Amino acid sequence: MAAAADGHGGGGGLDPLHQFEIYPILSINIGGYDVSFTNSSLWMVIAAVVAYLIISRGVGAGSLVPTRMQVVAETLYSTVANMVRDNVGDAGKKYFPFVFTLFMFVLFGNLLGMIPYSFTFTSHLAVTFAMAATIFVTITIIGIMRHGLHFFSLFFPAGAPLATAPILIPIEIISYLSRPVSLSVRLFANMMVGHTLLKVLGSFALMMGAAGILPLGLLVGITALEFLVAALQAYVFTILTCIYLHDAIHLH
Amino acid sequence: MPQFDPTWFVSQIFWLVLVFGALYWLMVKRALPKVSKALDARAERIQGDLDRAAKLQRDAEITAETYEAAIAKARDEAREAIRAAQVATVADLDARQDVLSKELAAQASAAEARIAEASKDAMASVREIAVGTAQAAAGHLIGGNVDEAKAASAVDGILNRQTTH
Repeated sequence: MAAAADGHGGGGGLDPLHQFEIYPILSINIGGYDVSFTNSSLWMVIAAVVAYLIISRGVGAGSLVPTRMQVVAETLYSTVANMVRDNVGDAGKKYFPFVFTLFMFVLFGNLLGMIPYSFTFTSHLAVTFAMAATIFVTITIIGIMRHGLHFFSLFFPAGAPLATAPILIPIEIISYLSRPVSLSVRLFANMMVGHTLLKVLGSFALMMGAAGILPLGLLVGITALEFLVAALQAYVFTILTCIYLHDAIHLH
Repeated sequence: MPQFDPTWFVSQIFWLVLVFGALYWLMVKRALPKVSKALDARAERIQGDLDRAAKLQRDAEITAETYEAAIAKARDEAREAIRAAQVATVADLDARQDVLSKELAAQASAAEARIAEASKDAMASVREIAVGTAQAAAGHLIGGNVDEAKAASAVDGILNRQTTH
């Protein structure tokens, strides 16, 4: 890719995919693997720090009448707590910290990606698929540990005629196995497409001169939409995790 | 597309695990307990206040009931006292009237007895005087002494005739 060749900072010109380039900040090599601290790693750290500070500093001393930041922290907390309770039930209580961390991490990964010249680590399939695959494997293990072999009844709904089994079971298995794929691709594709679109519109605005006011206006609208998408995709990612967890715990 | 360049796959996953793990640990150990504590404290305070209000309401209702009962009891007692006083007054009045009428009856009969006594005495005196007068008058008429017994029997005869009249 041409943009990748001309280096990192500042370059790239109008290539809409340049913003997804990863470059190392600190080269680290462990056991022959390149685990360099990259711009992606940096924004993961920033997202984690912001997420932690918003909750921890936000609550502060935990006063009875909440401060403004406390309302933010408490609202985030109760939103995810209600999501887990409504979708998983009381059995989901012990998975709440994980679901909450997931939501905060993805939400701030998405939102901080809206800062110009930042990096959106959720726009990389490697990251979203690693998360989705971990969730998928963990939830499958939870299901098998709770229900043993009975867990596999998930692939054949009770009450369905036995004759439908040869069709139903493969469909159910494929749909189950495609969960991590759809979960990761949904987030990655949404973030990537949104950011690419912003970049393309921005390029148009530059190239069209005075007429660039039109794509600029559109850019403003799409930017607002992207903020919505950033929050919504974090929500969708989390709520689907809850639904999968519900399936593993309650088997339909 | 940089997304499908495997150069940074390992690095991305490595840092994802590290950062996510650290964030999870911080959330579990530090941030989330603070939030849940704040929320629980508020919920507890609100519930406590509601409970206290309900208790005070109950207390007030009990007090009102006690007050009503006390008022009703006092009213009953007062009515009973008035009735008892009326009964006692009537009884006392009757008793006193009895005593008084008995006393008056006794006094009346005593007076009657005294009058009877007096009239008897008077009658006796009348007889004596009549006997004396008759004796003296007869003595004058016949010129000599008249036996007192004879005079007495003559007077008695007349008196008897008069009383039988």
